[in-house]
Order: sequence, then C-alpha cells, then structure tokens
Amino acid sequence: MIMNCETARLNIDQYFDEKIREMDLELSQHLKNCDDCNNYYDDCKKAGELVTHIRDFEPALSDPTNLTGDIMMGIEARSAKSEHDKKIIPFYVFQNVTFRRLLSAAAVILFFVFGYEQYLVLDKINCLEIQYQKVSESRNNMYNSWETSTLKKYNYIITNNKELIKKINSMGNNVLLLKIASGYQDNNKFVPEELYRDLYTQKECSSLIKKFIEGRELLPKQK
Amino acid sequence: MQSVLQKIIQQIKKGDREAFRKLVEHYQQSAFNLAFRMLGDDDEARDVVQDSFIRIWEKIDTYNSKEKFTSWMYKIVSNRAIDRLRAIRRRPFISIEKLIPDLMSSGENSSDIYLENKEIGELIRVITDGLPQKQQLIFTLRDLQGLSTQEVKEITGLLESSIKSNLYHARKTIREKLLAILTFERQ
Repeated sequence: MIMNCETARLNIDQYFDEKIREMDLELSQHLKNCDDCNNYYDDCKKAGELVTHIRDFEPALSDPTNLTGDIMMGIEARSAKSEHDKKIIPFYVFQNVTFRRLLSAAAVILFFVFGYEQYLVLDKINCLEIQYQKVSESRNNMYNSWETSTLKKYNYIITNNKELIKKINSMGNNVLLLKIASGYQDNNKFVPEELYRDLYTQKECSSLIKKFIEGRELLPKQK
Repeated sequence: MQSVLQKIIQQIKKGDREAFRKLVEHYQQSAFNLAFRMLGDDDEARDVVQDSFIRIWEKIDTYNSKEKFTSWMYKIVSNRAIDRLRAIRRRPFISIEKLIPDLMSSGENSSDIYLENKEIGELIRVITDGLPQKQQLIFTLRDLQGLSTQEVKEITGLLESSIKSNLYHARKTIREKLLAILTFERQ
C-alpha cells in the first residue's frame, strides 16, 4: 500500500517530535517519489535545527556579580521593610475571628456607655427645660405646682455640667427660684438666705428655704 | 552536591545571608537561562531572576527537601516570567525573515553559528508569539530548557497527558510558523 501525502506528513512530524532514529521504510520510499513532501521534510528538519540552536545556546548573563549584588541588596531592603512592618498591626490580625469579636464587643460596650451618658445629659436638659417652663407658668399661682423633689434630682447634673450651668445662667431672673429650689449656687456667690435677711433671722430664713426645698411651703415674696 | 546543597539551604533557613549568596552565585545562570528563554529579553530576564531569588529567600521555609531544588526554583522563575509576560507589551520584532536564512546558510554544524543574546531573543519571541501561555511554558521547559517530562510535571503541576497535549500543539504551531517563513524564502 502506497502512503499518501497526508499520512507522510503526519509521520514526518512524529519523526521529528519524537526524535525517532530510524525512518519508516514506507515514509522513506514516499519521500523519494514526492518532491512536496521531501521539501516538507527538509523544512521540518531546518525548523527542528533552529529550535535545537536556541536550546544549545546559553544566553550570556552579563555581569553576574552585579546581579548577585542586586539580589543581596533586594533581600536587605525586604528585611528592613519587614522589620518596619512588624511594628504595625498586620492586617491579618483584623482577619482573626476572635480579635474581630472582641473588637465588636468593645464597640458595643463603648456605644452603650457613652450613648447612655449622652442620653442622660440630653434627657436632663430636656427635663430641666420642662421644669423651668412649669416654674414660669406657675408663678401666677404662687408656685403651687413646683416639684422640688424633681428639681433636686437634677441638682447633680446642674452642678457638674458646664453646658448646663451656662444654660441655666442664660435663663434669666425666673430661674432664680429654680436655683433656690435645687440648692444651686453659682460659684458660691449666690446664697438664698441673703434674699430674706432683712425680713427674717438667719435661722428663720434657713428654715423657710428648707421647707421650700422640701416642697412643704412656698417662698415668701422679697421685700 | 545534593547534601552540600541541603546544608546550604538549612543555613539559609536560619537566616544565613552568606549561604544565600552562594546559592545565588551557583544558580543564577540556570534561572537566567529559563527566564530568557521565556521572555526573549535580557533585561526582563534579569529582573525576573532578581525577583525570583528574593522570593526564594522569603519562601525558603516552604521548600521541601524531598523536592528537587531546581524544580522548585524553576517553578518560581516561570511564575514570575509569566507574570512579566502578562505585564509587558511585546516590542516589535526585527526582520526575522533575514535572520533565519542567515542562520540556515551558516552550515550544518550549529556550533559554527554565533548568535548574540539579542538575536536569539528575537527568535524566541517570534516562534513563541501568540502561543497560549501554558503551551509556551511547556514548550520552553521541554524543548528549549531541555527538561524531562517528569521535571516539567513537577514544575507545572500538570498531568503528563496534559503536558504532551500542550507540547504537541505548541510544536505544531511553531513548526507551521517556521515552515511558512522557510517556504517563502525558497520561493
């Protein structure tokens, strides 16, 4: 059976790819009688030689000492960077599940602590404003609706919060009674007893103030 | 040599830079050969070798002494070279049609032919241009670097059948490309 060109070329490819030492007799006969396949064989041989040339060629590494030096400098630089990075909390710490849970818990605790504190301050400002409103409204009714116990409750915040002190001071004269009721003293300059010193003795004045604070009596008018 | 190499690697694992210098001096040419055959460019190959050895220094703890060191090193070099191939835009080729006839007319003995890095680099770039990266890697390792199929398997992590298939297709493409040039020259 005579080998056709297609089979011959497949065999030529195989011959070069697999570096077969002895050519198949049938292929050899075909090449003798077929110029095209013979040219194909020659070209494949040249192509193979070209690849062999590349393989056998060892590319010259110019200045290898310099390359070694560059590599050594590279690892020095990396080591220095690595030392620097150790001082920074690495990102993988944040990827740690336990660490993340602790961080979340801390965030929640801080939120509640500071959030609640903030809530208390705002709430007390609000309550104080409502109470002040009641004082204003009740003046015509001789202060009957005063809730001194409530006022006393805010005393702590009033005397410990600069913002509130400023607010109270800005409220004007009407708040004076509120100050008395809550025992508030502005840098010790305000002494409630002084309001009545021309009318009562110190003892009587103290008693009145006390009764007023306790909500048992109204304050008398100033002279 | 293997035991000497293992001793050097043990010293490197302890942070001995002088031991690492010895390793670099001994293997940088082999690493350069592979990088050059993949990239076809002196400077790019040099950069890849530098990056690869820095990587080797950083990852030496992960090296398993049961593995052949050169296979491990070639794995790192070839990965770096592939990254570089993706990153760089290939430069225009010189007239390869002129280069090949010169090469072919220089005689039967390949040792008579002296080609500079630049010319061989151009040849490599021409014949591997357009190959899928896997085919290029396997062709380079097997046919240009002259490694065994087993070594190619260790480096690429591919099955033998896959290596053979990729090599077959790479060779076919390259042969067709060269034949087209050679046929044109004959006419």
